[in-house]
Amino acid sequence: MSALELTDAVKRYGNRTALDRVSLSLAAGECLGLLGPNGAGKTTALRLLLGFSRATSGRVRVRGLEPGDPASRRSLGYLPERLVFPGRASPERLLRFHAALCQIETSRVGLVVEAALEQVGLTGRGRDRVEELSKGLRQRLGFALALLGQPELLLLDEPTSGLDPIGIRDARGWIEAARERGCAVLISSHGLSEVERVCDRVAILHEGRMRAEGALEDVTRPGESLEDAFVRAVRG
Amino acid sequence: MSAFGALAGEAVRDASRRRIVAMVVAMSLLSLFFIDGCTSCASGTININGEERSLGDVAGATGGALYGFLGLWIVLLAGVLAADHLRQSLEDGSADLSLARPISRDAFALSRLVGSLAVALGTGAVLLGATAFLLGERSALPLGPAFVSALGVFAGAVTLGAFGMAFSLWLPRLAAILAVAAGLGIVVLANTLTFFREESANDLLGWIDRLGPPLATAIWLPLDKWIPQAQFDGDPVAVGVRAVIWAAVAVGLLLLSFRRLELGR
Repeated sequence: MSALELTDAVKRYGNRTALDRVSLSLAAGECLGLLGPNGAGKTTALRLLLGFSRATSGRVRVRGLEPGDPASRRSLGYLPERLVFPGRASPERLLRFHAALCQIETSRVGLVVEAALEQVGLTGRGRDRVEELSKGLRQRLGFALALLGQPELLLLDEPTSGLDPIGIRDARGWIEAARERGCAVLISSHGLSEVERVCDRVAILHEGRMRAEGALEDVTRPGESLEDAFVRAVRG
Repeated sequence: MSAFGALAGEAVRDASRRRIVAMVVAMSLLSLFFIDGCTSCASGTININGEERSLGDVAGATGGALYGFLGLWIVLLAGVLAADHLRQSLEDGSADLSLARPISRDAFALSRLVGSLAVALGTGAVLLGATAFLLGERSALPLGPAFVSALGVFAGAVTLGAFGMAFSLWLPRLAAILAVAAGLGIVVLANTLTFFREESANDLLGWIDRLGPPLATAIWLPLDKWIPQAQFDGDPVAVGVRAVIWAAVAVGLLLLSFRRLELGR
């Protein structure tokens, strides 16, 4: 069973087609980079997978289930591009809140929260107010929330946004660790170099259509960088 | 803690942090002083149509009017708070993280409704409780009618809150708040006119009074036991059943609307 699957997915908003017969699939342990210029349809694809939006036609499945089914999100971690937290909340309280939403056993919540804070380097900042954290630390908190409860599928939208070079390296480590335990990872990003380092497959969207998809070596020509392949796919 | 409990707790915290709540608390404190003043003069006299009457004789009427007005204020507050509470979390993106968890949209919408109702009904419990207590202590009015009327406030708050929240999914923020206020105003007008009409009218307001949500009637009808001078027509059980049905309809509309909503773009 694929961790996620889009088959001929179409999404229209009025006369505008945001996604046009896009097909994608992702198996356990795989990491797929979803690339494309602004407005290409990357966020629309993520929103279909999260059940925030319904496909106009085509098939969308997450772990074999319709995205509208809450069970499809039972082992899913999501890091949105724009993180919004209640300013007065502390990282620890937010993690406890999300642990409850993930239905993590009450007896395990303390340990899980502690481990999540430690993993992303927020030990000692757990009781600070979120509004006191820098952008980079908030992004680390976003990762802690996405990785909470060891999900089987990670959907990461611009995951390295706001992170410094050390944070970016750490994030790479968290993604690698998740993959090693069999987690499927979908990264939507403009950061081509990061995608090149972390992902084993890429999909390039432009104006809602799939322009290229496959393993890095299949998408790029000999001697070509991913950036070259991206520009070629977008400009035609 | 259950997922719904966590969501509801967060929604209550979120609602209590709203700027309007500080204003409501200030107004409630002022109202308590006003209520204290209103209920402390039961020993005086008043001249009505040339007839000298003890203020204690009219305490039921003034107490009923005061309690009924406060009840409607709580219903309006519930509607206004709810008309913004779900929409705001969708607009600022704070809902995204929660909705990416294995929870249903129904649970999320209901938790937001619970959050706004908790603030409105908490205020109601203080204001109506204090009013009923002072009227009972100072004017010896029975508390039973106040309790039944409070149930009417509860049903009205759920109804207007759920309608307000559903409106906010279709309308701009200000339009949703105005729709809540206008809706309550029309129903109150329809319910009020009925008390002054000899026979039930067949105009629009008459139909609203008979078939619409009994937002004012459910609050005022039980209070007629405080006002011996005026007996309101109406079967309290039928009004209660209609209040519950409308509350269920409003919540159903909210859930259906939120299930079908496309979240963000």
